Amino acid sequence: MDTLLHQALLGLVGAENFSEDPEDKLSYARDLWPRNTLLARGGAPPQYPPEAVVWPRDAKQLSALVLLCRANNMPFVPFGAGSGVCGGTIALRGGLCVDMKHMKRLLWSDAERGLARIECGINGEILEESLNRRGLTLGHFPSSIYCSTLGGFLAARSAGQLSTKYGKIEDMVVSAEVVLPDGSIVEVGAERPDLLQALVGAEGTLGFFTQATMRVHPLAEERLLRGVKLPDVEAGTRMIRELLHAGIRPAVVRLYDELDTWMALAGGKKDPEQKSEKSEGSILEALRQRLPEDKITRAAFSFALQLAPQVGFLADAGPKLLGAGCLLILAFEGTKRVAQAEEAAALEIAGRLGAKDLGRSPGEAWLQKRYAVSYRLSKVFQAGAFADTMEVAVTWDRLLPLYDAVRHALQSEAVVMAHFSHAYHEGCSIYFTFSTSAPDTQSSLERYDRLWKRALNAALAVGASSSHHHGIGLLKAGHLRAELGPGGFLLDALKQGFDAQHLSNPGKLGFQK
Amino acid sequence: MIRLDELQRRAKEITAAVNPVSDDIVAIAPWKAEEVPRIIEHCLSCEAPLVVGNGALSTGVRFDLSKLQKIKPDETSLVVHVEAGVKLGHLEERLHAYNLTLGPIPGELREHSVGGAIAGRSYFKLGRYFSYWEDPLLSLDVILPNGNYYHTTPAPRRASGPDLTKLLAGSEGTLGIIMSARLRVYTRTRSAREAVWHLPTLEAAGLAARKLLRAGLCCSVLYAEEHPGKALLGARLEGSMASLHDARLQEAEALLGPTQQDPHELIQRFSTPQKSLPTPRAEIFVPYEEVSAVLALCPERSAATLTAKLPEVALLSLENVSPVKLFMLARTHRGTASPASALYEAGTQFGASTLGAAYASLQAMKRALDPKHLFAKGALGL
Repeated sequence: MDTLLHQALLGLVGAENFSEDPEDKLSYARDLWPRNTLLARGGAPPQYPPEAVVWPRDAKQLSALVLLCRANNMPFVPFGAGSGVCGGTIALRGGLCVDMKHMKRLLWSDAERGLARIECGINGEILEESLNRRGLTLGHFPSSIYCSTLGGFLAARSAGQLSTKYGKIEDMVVSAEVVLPDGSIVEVGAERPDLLQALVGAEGTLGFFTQATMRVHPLAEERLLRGVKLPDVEAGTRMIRELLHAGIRPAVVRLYDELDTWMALAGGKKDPEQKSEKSEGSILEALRQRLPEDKITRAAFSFALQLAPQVGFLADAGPKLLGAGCLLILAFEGTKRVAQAEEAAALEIAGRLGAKDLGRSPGEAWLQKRYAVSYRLSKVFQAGAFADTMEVAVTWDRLLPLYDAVRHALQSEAVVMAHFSHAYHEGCSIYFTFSTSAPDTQSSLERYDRLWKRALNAALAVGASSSHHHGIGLLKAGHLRAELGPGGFLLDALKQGFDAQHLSNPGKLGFQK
Repeated sequence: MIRLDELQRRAKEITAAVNPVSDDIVAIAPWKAEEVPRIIEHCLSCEAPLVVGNGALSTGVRFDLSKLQKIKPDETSLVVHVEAGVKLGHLEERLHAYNLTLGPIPGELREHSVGGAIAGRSYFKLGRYFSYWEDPLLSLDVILPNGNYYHTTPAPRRASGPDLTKLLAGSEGTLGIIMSARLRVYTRTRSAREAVWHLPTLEAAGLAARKLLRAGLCCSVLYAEEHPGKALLGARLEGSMASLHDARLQEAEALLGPTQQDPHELIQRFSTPQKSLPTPRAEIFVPYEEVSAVLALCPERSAATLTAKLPEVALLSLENVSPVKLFMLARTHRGTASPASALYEAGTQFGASTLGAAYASLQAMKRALDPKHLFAKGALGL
């Protein structure tokens, strides 16, 4: 780094908020994109470390940093808590990594108005706890909540586990303070056209969120959890659709496909995150007998199956043969009267559709361990295999074709399971988990890339979005452009308007100078 | 150099409905959506400015999309794909044949075309049955300023970059011409509950409405009117399960007290075009707690005072959009149409003063998208 620039940066943020230490640069060189985890497991150092890391204290300091970077043609890349899974914070062109975590205050909340003003570097869990102490909730519970920030939520259009009632993050934000790539500090809200919704999801390519006014809600007076079992995915998705169209807004809607359900219930466990170990031996044998002929696939299957007792990934066909059915977890919350009425109405619909009421325990067990799933993937990698998740959304009329198409696209090379966990009036998202293995790093990377390409091609062919809540980053940039088609022209014009120099998080969302 | 005569000739080869309005303006009313991109291609090659509907235009092409009337309901997803020329009131009537509804439509929106309501973002006032934060607009089909047809992804939610659907909605034709849209619909309700509360002031009615919304009680209609010495707040709860409305109405009564008799008349007024009121109207987006401040501008509620104090504004009523802010609808008493870009939000004129430095970025985006400013030139001050 140029000495003058180095001195200027130090002068701006102070030595304690500036680092060129190799350890820091390595730490900030990657997020939780599994592809980079594969590379790291293979011993490769991160390809794109930033030149330095800074921790600005407020929007003014960030604005000054941005102006300095612009003057020196240096890229600047935002960093929240690093739990993104698409490579959205990788410093492709080097430059400055801007860690936002010093901006971490809950500035005010107003229960009457249902609003809170929050700095965007605040950790998701700390924010929720702070609001809870004031009798409020944001209603946003992503499984990454312990390792996430509000700015990251906004940048990538995050969704939480209670999204059906409270919405995704873009539904919660009322206005935001943003430092634009030209260094100006602006407040964007309900203008026309809707610039706020153009900046949300831009992954730092059009500006950095520094503060946001968010809708908040009184803590629920009542939360009622319920599990029901349906014969198959088709019946399960139909039940969710009927609930939504009847005007019921459960806080939690989680439908597990047959494989996932079997894992949850076969051993008498009521928690889909707490996989059964007792009876896995029998199902593994049943599954092994049905392995395809291809050697690589057999190897991958076998590997994944060996891991099953620890990590919970099993093959696709067995549970259907064993009649596992599909577990649907629901939660209703709000005032006591309304939560009870919604639960009663939901059970009425469930009864009409032939669902079996499993009582409260599946939901309560899920609630206790609801964030655990995010921490299981590392075990897969440690064991030599790999896994990733893909979340896409579509309207109800195309939901089952989407489910079938993606599974079909992946099944020859990976074990695939899915759940449906963000439901809306018009449609639903599907969260696919696929796991497999390959003999070495290079072939693992090739398989990883091939699986993603197939899965997203299949999803886009059905008319789904390329992402529901993980964002685009580097992983899905090509598919974003495929999804947009001619709309890429509009997206590029937006970039040209806000950051013609392509310095703000360059290379993401498929932007190319 | 614009050659309107040449453009007319080419347009007539595509569609029959081409009529010169003056020496400088040609009106084109395509019969089919497929004709529009072909005509626009010629507009671009002739560098002819173009607008849809009544937008300001000194020279160029004025598109009338009112012949684009197709609708295609998706009864599984409860979405209707509708062309831009269909008026919202007419759309509602046609949906009834499928046992579907847009929900209660504010009276003044019934004559809005789908394209116009989205371009001006007034569609946002369509009722929400079950949760206040959901947007009735799912996706758009637009022709961009480079002439390409862009279909935004009709997914219920996306994390695929910026929300270009929302960027286009409200852009008043500056970023693209809206050809069709997918809007949320509901099955026609088998039951509904209506309620009305008498409150001392319009501000009190607004705060009471917020109370309902904050408790999670979403209403398909939430409407307040000011009357001498009091204000009325009406609410309508509906859906397919009567037990739910009953519980929600009980909850509402627990919050605001027992409802008064005969709410239906008030709710009807919400959905009825108020023809006695002059148009056009201005709309301001007001936080609940600022209703009093706005009303204080005109204690006697006279159009003259309001016109002087808050340009273009007169008689007031309130409609909910969220528990945070609400729309204050106000009909102008001025005889001339105000340009769309003169609409007021939070009492501030749109443009540089509202967007601050982001306005320059918006202008730069417009330059990149439409370097010759052919699409809706001058709208939004761009």
